[in-house]
Amino acid sequence: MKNYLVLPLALLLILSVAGCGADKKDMLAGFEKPDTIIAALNKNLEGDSHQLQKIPTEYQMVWRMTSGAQLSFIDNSYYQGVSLLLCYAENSMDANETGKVLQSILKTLGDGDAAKTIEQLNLSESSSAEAEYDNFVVQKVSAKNLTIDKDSTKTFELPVAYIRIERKLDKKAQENQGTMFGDNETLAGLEELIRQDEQLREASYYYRHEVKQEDEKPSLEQLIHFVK
Amino acid sequence: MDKEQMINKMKQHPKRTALLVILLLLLLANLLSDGGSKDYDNPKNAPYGTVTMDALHQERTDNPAEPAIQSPVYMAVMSEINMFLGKGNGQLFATVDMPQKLEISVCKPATYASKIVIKNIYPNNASLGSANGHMDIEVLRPFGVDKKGDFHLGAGGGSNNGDFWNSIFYDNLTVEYAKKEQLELKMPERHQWKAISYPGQIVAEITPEQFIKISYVNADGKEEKTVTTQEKAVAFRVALSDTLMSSHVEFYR
Repeated sequence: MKNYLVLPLALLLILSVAGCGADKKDMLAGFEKPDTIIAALNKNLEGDSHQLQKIPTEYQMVWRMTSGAQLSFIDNSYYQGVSLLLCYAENSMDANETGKVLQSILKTLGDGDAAKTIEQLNLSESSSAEAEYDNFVVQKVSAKNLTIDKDSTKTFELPVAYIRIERKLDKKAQENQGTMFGDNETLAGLEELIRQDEQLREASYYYRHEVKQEDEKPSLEQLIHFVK
Repeated sequence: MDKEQMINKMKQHPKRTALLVILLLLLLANLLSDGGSKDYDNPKNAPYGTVTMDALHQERTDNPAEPAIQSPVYMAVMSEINMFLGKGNGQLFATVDMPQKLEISVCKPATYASKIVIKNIYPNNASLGSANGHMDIEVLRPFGVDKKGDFHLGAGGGSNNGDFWNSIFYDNLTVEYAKKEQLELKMPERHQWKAISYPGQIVAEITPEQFIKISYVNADGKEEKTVTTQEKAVAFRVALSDTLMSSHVEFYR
């Protein structure tokens, strides 16, 4: 083959390969209607209990599974489209089931070793973790051990975990955008975001003060006769 | 190079020709793919848009109906509550004898029951022979439901306004939950100024749908009246208070 042909052919090859993979990554670019994205995710989610159903709430529109998970859209930390926030009750969905759901979501978004990403997230532990998948960063925070405020020692105590799936920074686009962003993209940034979850705050307050009655003092307990 | 020369070259190098065709097809696919994402381009040709978030904001509602599926936060909180409630095996685990004192409050925080039975209800005569007395048993409401009021018993009634020897008193025992009357029970009429202990018992239990089924069982053990509340409840607390009323209360798991 003539040398002058090699360069354009190589260029064509690169462009073609890049073009073929573009569709999946564009799903969270902010140009798709939420229902379209959810329909794509539902196609890959297995079992009726894992199908996402649209639920209006006073905070925003969310999608829930009967198995105990919720998916919502949040702003991408770099203002580059949207990110996904998967929230689930750790006592309703175990690590194995959550892993399967997460794997289906990741495979809809991009191509990578989803099993490895999920393993790195340590889903069976109530601790924060971060892993990469294709062009995404996947972060997990559990509210069980998360302090209610940054400087507080009290935790939310509830077994609820959050997983954020966010596209990595597109530096070129960011240069053109010229916008500034804080440290929302970090694991600490996600923790701060979860601290602001109004329903979690209310539920935690209810659990600690109404159910466990932390602030309640016993009175005339000697009048209670416990039957053994 | 004219047309014939090109065809000859292609015939001479079929593999190179095939490679070129494949690459051209890939390029075409790439171009078409870009064409498909033309919707993505906003007027400023920005690579990222706001369509997704805008659609979410437009669909937001201030007064959503009861959700078809509860949130993970709700599910987590309710399963933690079940740990406090125990196995719910219906066994009696505690009793309290509320004494005849003006006002009293008994409480063991974070101790719960799914059923209560209130016996030996005895209101004090507080105002010229007429029955008067109240008692409350605290109720844990579900997460997200405003607390309106506890489980409440109240004794009251009237008289025939007869003289000291011929007065007859008609007592009522009312049962309320969340400040709404659930049952009104006529108690035996009295021909004496002193209060009497009411016959029968009030049984209240949490239903699987998280309401309270309230029954009045008479002295013969027959269920006379039953009602199920419209307001939700999760469990009874071992926390009671009374004003001018004594009773024996049983708490069941």
